[in-house]
Amino acid sequence: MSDNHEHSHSDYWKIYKWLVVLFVISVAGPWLAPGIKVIVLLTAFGIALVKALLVVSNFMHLNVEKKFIWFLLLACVFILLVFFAGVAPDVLNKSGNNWVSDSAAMVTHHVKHQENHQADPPPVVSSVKTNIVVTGPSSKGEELFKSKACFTCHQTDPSIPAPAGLALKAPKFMGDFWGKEREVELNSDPISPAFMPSGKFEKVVMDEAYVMESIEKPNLKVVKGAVAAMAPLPTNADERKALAEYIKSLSK
Amino acid sequence: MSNSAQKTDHEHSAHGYHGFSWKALFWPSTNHFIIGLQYLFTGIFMACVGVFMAYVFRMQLAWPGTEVPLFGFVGPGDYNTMVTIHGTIMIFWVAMPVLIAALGNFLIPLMIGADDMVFPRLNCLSYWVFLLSAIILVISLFVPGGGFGGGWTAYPPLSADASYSLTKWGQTLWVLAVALEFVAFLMGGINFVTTTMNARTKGMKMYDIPILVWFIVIASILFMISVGPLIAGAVMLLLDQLAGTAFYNVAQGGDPLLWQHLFWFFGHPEVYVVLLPALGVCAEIIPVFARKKLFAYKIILYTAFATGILSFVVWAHHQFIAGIDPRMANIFTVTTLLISIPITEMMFVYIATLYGGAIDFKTPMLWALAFIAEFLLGGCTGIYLGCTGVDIFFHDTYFVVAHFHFVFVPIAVLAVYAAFTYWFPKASGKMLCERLGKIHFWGTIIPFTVIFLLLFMLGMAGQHRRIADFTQFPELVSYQSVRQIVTCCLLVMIAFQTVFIWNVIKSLLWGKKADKNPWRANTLEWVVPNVPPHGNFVDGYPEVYRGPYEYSVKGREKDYWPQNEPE
Amino acid sequence: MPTGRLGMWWVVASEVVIFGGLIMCYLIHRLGNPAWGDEAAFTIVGAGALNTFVLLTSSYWIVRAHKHVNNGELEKAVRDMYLTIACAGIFLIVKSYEYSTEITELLHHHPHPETGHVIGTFPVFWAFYFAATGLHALHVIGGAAAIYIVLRGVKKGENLQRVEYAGIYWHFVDVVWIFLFPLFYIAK
Repeated sequence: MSDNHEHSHSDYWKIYKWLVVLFVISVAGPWLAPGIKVIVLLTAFGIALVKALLVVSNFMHLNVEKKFIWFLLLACVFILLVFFAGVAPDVLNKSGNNWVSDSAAMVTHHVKHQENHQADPPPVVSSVKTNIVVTGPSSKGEELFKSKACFTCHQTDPSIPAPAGLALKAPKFMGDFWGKEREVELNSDPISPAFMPSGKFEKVVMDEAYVMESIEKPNLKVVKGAVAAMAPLPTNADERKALAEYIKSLSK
Repeated sequence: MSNSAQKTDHEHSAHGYHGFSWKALFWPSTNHFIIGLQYLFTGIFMACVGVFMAYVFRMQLAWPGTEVPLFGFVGPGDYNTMVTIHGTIMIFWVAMPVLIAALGNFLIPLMIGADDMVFPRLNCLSYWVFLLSAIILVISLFVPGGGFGGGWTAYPPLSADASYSLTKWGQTLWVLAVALEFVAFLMGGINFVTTTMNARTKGMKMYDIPILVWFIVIASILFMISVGPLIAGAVMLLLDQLAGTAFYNVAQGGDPLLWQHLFWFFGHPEVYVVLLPALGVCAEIIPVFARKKLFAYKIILYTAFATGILSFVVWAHHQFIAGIDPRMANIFTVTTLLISIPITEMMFVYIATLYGGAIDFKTPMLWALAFIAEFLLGGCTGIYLGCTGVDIFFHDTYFVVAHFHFVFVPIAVLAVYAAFTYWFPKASGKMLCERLGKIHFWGTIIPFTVIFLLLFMLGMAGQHRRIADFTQFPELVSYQSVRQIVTCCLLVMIAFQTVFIWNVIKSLLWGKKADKNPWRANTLEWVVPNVPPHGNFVDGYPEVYRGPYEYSVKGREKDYWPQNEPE
Repeated sequence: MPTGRLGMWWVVASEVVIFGGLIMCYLIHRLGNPAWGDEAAFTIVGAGALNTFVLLTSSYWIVRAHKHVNNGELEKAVRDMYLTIACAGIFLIVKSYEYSTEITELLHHHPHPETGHVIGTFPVFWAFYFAATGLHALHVIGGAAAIYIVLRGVKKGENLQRVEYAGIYWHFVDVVWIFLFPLFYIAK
């Protein structure tokens, strides 16, 4: 049954002693020289690797076991490294060529100031690498405008075009928008969420009522010339009011 | 040798097998035949649940907003749940148990000349854990909040936060069910691999092992290695759901993309885990019904290994537009296109096996041939999806749905019917009716092909997945009649399954009694009496003298040469 | 190779990828978040070190039990297996102490703005810490239970080969801890 293990039996005590020695070094190293990071890492993980190999070859008898078990285990480790290689570029990075992860920046900032319990000023957040910088407390409407991605179609800053909105000819919310009268086309089927052209036009003032209605039912009255591609957004009345206020503030 | 090791466990088994009985299926058993049947019947039951869900959501798509008979109105949340659970069930509770656990349990001991698996009690435990996982999944449909509706891929934060998934219990039970299913198959897999390695009968060398056995073993190894990170990921998801951790929550420093990677790191090898047994079934059936030696045994074997290894480096092709590093996307496009090569080569080997053979179009052969044809079509569409540029347009459209159904249905339906009709005589002692079998075959293949060809078309038109009502979209409304045709085809396909059920019942009750080896095949399972008795080889263990595919050997009278015949 | 041992190696292989997967995820997050050094400031190195020593010793005892079985000294083997289980017990007690102190510390440092509980604002380092060490602790419990069951057989002189197999599993549990210790306690 285990005839091939006879020769390693007497070594167990010796291996154990080595394990304990290595263990002491791995704890003592960082304790004695905590500043030198490289030494800490080398001693901690290097020694862990050596200890693991000692246990695996001697206690688990891999030194006398059929070789393919080594292959199996090494294959598993290799697969894990493949996993790391494939996933790390995505999860590890907090910024890339054209993007910055705001949430990650905020969390790191938050963690750093945790101990001090100060009211920290909100970090300067760069949402798009085209230098929109938002400082100071943002209004609820503005936050909603960003979180519901309205800015992808509706331009709010003269220097930053809304890429999808250009193609769809979505109304721009800056400057000359609020309070002006515009021609809109009515939906021939007021109940359907999709837009069916009716050919009937109306003049409507771009005011709070129209904006709030359009957030809830965007295809009821579509501004003339625009493509009716906006999907109804799940919002409540408070949120629509906040958004309308924000849009109003852009036109001042 | 190792055969004696099995006998000790058998004598001590409290639930000894005294010959097949329907009652035995409801009790814990350590006998591989009973366990295989238990997996089969549980898989069939779950398939019915999954098909019912497909029926419900297809009815909703064809006639949105109307009451679906036997279900009621389908709201958007219901629709999402149907789609999610349909996918989850079909992969984890139908394809895997039937192809790997049922076939593996029934056939591996028989094909290698063993009297049972080497760990019969572990085998028993694996089934009951599996059954528990199935029960938990079904229960998850009826808890407050209803079943989980976040897609079988369960991306967080939708799956991690009950305020998004709207079903606190449903999302947790879903993860638990899947995790338990993984545990069951880990246990089962150990049995398949160890039994094949250690319990082969005298004379059966490595290259005498039937391809089906090899493929189930390779599939088990693939599963065992790839599922590890996802089990870790599932633990993390459970903690996110229940303990307020933030593994996948960006606002607190986590990353939802991590789940995607963990899921697909397993998800891709998983499709090969289910593909390999299906390919194995074809490898067994085609030589028998072509009366010709399998074209290149060793090449198929090595190809399967190569496929398995390659399958670990293609996973991110499911995430091309998820925001991964585009340089990674380039690498994964290359590997994805590479992996099509070994699979195609296997298909060519099967076609080469057919070439020059004396083909007998019995029902199992029809199913196996259909598998090759349909799988080839489905696989080709995978090439399109594997190219990042094309995938930017096709991702999350019905093109993807049609692609994976065109590969999965051959795996989980065509190959399963092939296996069922082929080994039915051995398992039951009766022959199935050929005429009914052929009617069932054509009544399944034709609607299936029509359904998914039409869905490819809809996908190219831009129809997106996981949407309950396409009449809301002006650009897609005009295809409503196509959707209705698809649903009608599905109804036809479901209707024809009754032919199969009737065939089975009729044959079991009044069918022609089967010979021990009705198909005149070589492999060892045809040596045992029909409805294998306790210990399988009651007349003594066979000794193997040659490989399993010696058909139409020159100079011999018979056109087959069983492995255990000395001369 | 005896079937039981072969089966146990497959178990170990599948567990390697489970724990390995969790550790890889932790590494990916850790390397991307150097700021975690502050958060981890209060894992109790002494407790972790003690646990490492305890598990190392238990590994030695279970392999010595295997040696005794080979030499036919069944009572010594049983004694060594009891010692292994005792080490598992000490490990779990130390772990419970650690968990309770750490959770109270977390409550103190990171309270939820509304409820005051830590649930809802779990820093990711601690999420990984509890997930990894918790999963490991579950395996310690399972391994100790398995050793106990094998022990009962050995007392009757049955299935002596299982001592080695249970030992292989136990050593695996030890090796996982050998890596978890520097990861969560030293290289913060």
